[in-house]
Amino acid sequence: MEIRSWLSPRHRQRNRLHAYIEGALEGAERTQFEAAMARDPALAREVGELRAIRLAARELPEIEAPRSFRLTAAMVAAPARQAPAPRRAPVALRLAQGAAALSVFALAVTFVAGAVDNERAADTAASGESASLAVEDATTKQAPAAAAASGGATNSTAATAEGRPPVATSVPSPFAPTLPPYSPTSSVSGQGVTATAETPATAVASPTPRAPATGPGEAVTAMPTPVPPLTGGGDAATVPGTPSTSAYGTRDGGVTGGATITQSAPAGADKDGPGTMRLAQAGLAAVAVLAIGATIVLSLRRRREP
Amino acid sequence: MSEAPNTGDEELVVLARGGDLDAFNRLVDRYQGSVYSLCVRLLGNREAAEDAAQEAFLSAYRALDRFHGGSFRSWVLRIAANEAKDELRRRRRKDGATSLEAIFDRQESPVEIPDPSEGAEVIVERHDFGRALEIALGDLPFEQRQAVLLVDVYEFAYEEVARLTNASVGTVKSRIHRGRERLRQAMIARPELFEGLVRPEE
Repeated sequence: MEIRSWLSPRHRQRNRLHAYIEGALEGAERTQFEAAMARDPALAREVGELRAIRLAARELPEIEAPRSFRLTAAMVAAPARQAPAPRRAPVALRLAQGAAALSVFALAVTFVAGAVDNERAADTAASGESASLAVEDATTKQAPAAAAASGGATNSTAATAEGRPPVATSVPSPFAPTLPPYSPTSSVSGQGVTATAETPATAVASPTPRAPATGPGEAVTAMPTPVPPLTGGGDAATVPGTPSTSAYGTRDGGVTGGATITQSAPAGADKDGPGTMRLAQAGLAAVAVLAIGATIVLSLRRRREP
Repeated sequence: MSEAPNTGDEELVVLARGGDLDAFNRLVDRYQGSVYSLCVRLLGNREAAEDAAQEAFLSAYRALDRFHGGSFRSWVLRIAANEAKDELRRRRRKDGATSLEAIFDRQESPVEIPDPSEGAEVIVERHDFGRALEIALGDLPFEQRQAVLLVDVYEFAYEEVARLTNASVGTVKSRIHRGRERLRQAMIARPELFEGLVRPEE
């Protein structure tokens, strides 16, 4: 009997054991199995027990029929009895299967969407580099901090994840379609070092005083009208009393300081932030696990029935 | 009866195909023990087994044109195994049993087996390995019981059981392995039954 090589060693051993007691194990495999039995008394005993059971099963006596099952002409003439129709899967099982399929599909969609989103953001960052749309040298030296601080403009997660300095770009953003014109007084500060942004395409000064905000680890100073700092590393960082900070200054965990860097980001993805996406994925994963578990349990229960 | 007592199965089948009901009933006489034994071991209920056995012979008579030689016993046993399964389904629906295992009638043993409540002493006294094995077989899930019975008792090939049960050979093999293992576990709980039966393998 051929024992399939892709089975686990344990399964192969079980298959060999049963093939052996059936007398179906031949050649080298039989020799190896007998050698294994010689080394392992427990295995030898198990083989002996299974063989005794199999022999006893073959010798089970026939049970005498309590009556004759001879056919009569009337029986033969009668219409044949219909076999019961195959059972349909119970409603609960079908529901569980549907929920499992849907949740797994939805989960896959969220992962694909997230991957596409990240890739697009990385591409955007890269194109920003090649287009030399960066803040001036003094700023780019502090690029990681600056880019992180201007999170609304740059997908800092994607940029830093790829190991290159996050560079602010000026790709038109649907979130900032009406940004005011360049103001030479705007500045971007990162990690305590202040640099003046003089490139219109990359650093656009807001005409209104802004609240500098402190993201996680970064400090952004709005010039020239400093106001009390705001601590807000999350997606919903807002600046009380400074409405001009607006949505595009607080997206993606970043905070817009004196300079607002515009950059496009997928509208739906960043609006609620990656946290929401992760929450949705966690929820879907939980539903999928529950539905798959229910499907397995119900299927096993059903398999016990013919 | 026109045919001789030692008429072969195939000859009786030819006669039965021609409408000779007596010829077919000779086949019934020969194999009703085997058919009923399989049904009662599968169903665990005498009444259900009688119904299934009767239906098996009726189905066999009506399907004689599809018998293409070979062992008539194996052929009619395959039909009986299917009828037993159908009988389980019918009774499940009729009785509204929540589980087919519930139909396995413990009050009415398929064979004269000792009541498990009699305890190990009684079984030891009888020293009847076969009867203890009948009890253990009755405790197997239906699919495992069917596979073990057909392969180990009625000597069907794995492929035959796979066709009969609409399962893959791998599935049948798995059911048999698990069934045998469960039987072993049940039997080694009474080691005295193995005395004299098990000799250590070399």
